[in-house]
Amino acid sequence: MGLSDVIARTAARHAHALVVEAPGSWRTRVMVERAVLARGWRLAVSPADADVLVVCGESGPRLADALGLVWHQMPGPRVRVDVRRYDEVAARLDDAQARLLDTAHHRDDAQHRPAAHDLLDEQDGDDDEDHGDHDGGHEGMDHGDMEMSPGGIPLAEGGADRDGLEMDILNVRLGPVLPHWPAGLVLRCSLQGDVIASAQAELLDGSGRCEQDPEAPGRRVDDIVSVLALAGWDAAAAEARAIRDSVLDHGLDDETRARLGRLARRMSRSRILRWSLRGLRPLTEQDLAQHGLPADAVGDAYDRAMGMLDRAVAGDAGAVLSTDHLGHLVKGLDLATARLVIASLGMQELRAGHAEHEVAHG
Amino acid sequence: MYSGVLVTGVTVVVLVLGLHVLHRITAIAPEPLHVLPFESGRVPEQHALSRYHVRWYLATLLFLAFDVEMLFMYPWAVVVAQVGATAVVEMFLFLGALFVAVLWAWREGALRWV
Repeated sequence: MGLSDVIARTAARHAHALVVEAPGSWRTRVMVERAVLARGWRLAVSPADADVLVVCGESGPRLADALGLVWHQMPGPRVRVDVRRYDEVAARLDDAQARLLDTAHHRDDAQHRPAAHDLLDEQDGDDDEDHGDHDGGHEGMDHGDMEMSPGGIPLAEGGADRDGLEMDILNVRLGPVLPHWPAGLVLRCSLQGDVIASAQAELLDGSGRCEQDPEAPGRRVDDIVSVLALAGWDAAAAEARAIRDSVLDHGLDDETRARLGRLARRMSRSRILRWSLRGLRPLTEQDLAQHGLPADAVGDAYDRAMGMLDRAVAGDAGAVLSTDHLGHLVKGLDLATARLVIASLGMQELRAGHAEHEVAHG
Repeated sequence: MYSGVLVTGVTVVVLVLGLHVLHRITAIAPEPLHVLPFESGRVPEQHALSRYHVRWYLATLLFLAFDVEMLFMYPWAVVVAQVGATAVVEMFLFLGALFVAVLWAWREGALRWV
């Protein structure tokens, strides 16, 4: 019918895209973000918000599992797009918009998609493969076992927290599919209340080929975008994104330097930014030596964020961190602070640490 | 006399039923989609209910008990001057019964804050 076509076309012009970056595909992700914003779409923050799932680069097996789950959690109409190289971005997004208009396919998809208990069984099936009881999960959920499992997910056990008070321990993953998060990083946190009591960092599927870093200024400006967006200053983050795009197009010419300078002055004048970032994980020289961080990561998150601008103009390379140290860096912080601290470190590359190698080969 | 109420009631019921039937007819999948909470690509290991300690619920119950007690004290306050000592004694007996509840909550750890 004419009316439903008009409504579908109008809706497809305002789609929300969830962009997932596989390790080693920074440039593709940046081009995708740029193309998504240029055609009037928005960047989604979670699968519930998303219409299009855009996967940048080649995903390894574990990232593919995570993406499968995220795909199940997206409400219809939904479209998945894989963008392998940065020159096919426009074609793929046009294809996604066309597929969003295929109402018959979406109707069919809505009627034949798996429900929550199928996803849980699938997860239990992976874990219980050795025990061989495939029916146990389904029935256990129905009559509730000995502990409560509302919706099939068990409640947490308690434990003493850092003050000696008994609080429930929740194991939460800050995982691969998270905006403004390093690609391929999974941080397994033990949360008590809002505080991360302990954390282990893990790299999914190895670190990916590390591209030579000719785009160093662009990557530093991208780190600034992350810090500003996580601090909640969307206007400055949009300006930083525009600067990043122009750095990718023209390199660091005079006009871009002037814009960076204006952004730097804006950031230094902002009282709210200072208040948000002051005192977050201050690092001394000894900490830097212990964790293998570069010398410019000294100070708290505000110093690091302001230092990022200087590094962008100078074209310096970013930090290369090992996953061993990341867990120690976020211990004792709450979730929002942990995300800000990780963004403020300005990582260029993440390497799998020794602990992970032992687990893999042990 | 009740014609107005009756007409309103019937109209509301018809409207609500009509909306329900319209939804059932036009929706592609009338059952809501149950997906698990989003945890960045992994099924959550513990339920989010655990993030709220049970002490908040016990504190709420305590508040409710004293709120209702306050409600009973309003008329009491108006007449206590005339009735005299018996009224005061009865009110304190009532407060004593409530204090048993406070003692229980104290023993359960609902009042521990730090």
